[in-house]
Amino acid sequence: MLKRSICFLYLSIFLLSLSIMVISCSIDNPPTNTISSIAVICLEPKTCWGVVGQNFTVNINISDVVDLYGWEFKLSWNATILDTVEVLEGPFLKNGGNTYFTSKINNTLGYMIVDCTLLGNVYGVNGSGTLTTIKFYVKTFGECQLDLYDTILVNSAEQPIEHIAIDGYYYTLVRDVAIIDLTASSTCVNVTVENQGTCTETFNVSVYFTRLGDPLIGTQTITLNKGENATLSFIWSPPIPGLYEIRAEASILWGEADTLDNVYTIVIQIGRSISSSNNQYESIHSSHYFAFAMFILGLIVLVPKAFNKNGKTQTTVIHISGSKLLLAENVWQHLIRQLRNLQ
Amino acid sequence: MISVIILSFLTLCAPVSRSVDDVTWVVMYGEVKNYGLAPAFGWCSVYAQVKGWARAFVAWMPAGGPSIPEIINFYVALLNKTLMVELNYQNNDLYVEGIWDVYNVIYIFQPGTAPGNYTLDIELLMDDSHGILSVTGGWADFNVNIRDLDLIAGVVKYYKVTFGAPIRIGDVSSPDKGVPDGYVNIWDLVHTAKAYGLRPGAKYDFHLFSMDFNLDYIIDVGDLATIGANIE
Repeated sequence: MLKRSICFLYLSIFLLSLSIMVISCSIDNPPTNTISSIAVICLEPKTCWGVVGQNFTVNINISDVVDLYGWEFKLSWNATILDTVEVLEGPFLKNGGNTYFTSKINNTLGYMIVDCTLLGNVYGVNGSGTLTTIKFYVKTFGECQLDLYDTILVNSAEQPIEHIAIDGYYYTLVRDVAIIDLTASSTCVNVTVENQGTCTETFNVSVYFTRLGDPLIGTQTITLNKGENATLSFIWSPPIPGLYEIRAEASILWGEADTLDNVYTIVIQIGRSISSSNNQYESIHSSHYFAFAMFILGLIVLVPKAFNKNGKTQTTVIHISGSKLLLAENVWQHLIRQLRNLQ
Repeated sequence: MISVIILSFLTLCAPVSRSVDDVTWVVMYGEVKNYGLAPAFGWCSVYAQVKGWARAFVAWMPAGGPSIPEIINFYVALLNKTLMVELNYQNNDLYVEGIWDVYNVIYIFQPGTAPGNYTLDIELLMDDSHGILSVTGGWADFNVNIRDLDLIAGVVKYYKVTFGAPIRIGDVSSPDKGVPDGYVNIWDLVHTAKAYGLRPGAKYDFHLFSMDFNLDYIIDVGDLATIGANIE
């Protein structure tokens, strides 16, 4: 009986010890999070754009890093599109103390090597932040990968830090709006504008006439998606009959590639028509027609091909240096009459 | 006749092209083990263009340490004129012959102050002594034999021989901490940065001389800049 009691006592002590061991082990090794975060080094923004002749900046960021003491990365780009202007150290590693930062830029081959390290026997930096800020200059149109490669993160024990590197992408923004057509009557000016760039644009379209010293007919603001066009109508009232130059202008966008087609000009006659009964302006002095005839005569000499060979009167459009000279049918009829009178 | 002309042309051109392509570069680091018959601590470093010039120095301290803890002195022999640099010469893997200067380097630390407070005293012991640095045993051992000095002997820790492009200065570490890997990159920068502000030899840490590229007895921004300039 005594033997059985002793055995039971030993068994109890053994089980108690075992329980204590299991509990202490569970305290020493708390359950760890099985999903460990890995450091990520990437460009911010991941997709960036610029405008020809302008600079843009991109950051090299790091996230979820532990004990970062030093880092190195290489970045390549298309050297025909971009040049690196400057590479500046970001604030992240400075959180750990004094640093040494160095960069090598090869704009001919389109790559850079950037290094940074803390100084002295200090612990590394934890968390997320900006390692570097890079300023690029856009030389021409195009798109390319911003390839982040050979990235090395080193901790304060001079051991590598596991991480992933994510490339970025660059494209040159094409900003280009154009006025592709302009028509006018005595009451309305219709302007057709087109977005010939690569992004949605909001801009102003203004219409002027020249007779009274460039008075503004009106301005409208329009937003067009890439490749879209629209016709805007501007109601106007010419003060007197006569020859008017109508000029439509699309506001020049910041960094716009082609600004020559932002202005469109036509010349229009507002006045009495022999054949037309609904024309509002009947009292036009014949001397005006004579002067106008001389002007047109000059044009005939300069631009003979603009005339129809069979002698029919018609609406004729003469392109001169990108501007459009629009002569209405009634103008031609008056012109021919004046020329006959002269004979 | 044409063949004679071609042969003459090739004969003239050949040495020129060979002299450009066949430049040989050597780097060697070693740890001093003995000064004469006595054990010693120290470091030896060589950077050379074979058949051209060499930069070499050896720093050593006889074992036993300083008698006064606040005063640390050791010796540095510096090659100031190269007479001959050869590979595989007279059973030596590397043979550097030249004129050496020998200095006594003394750090005096102020007791009770930070390690940064010190005075550095460098006094010339021997001027223009003939000496030979040789590496033997398949790049295993080195000896520095300077006239009027005991033989300085040690083991090679790292060496590299290349042809053509010069070896970049600054390769002192790799993912294998403190072991050069043939490339100059962030590992070298971090390894040197960790030693920033330290004085080579002040605490028997003669290996720090491998990072003191300008031999100014302190690991500073000048040494980091040397690495930075050679990062590839």
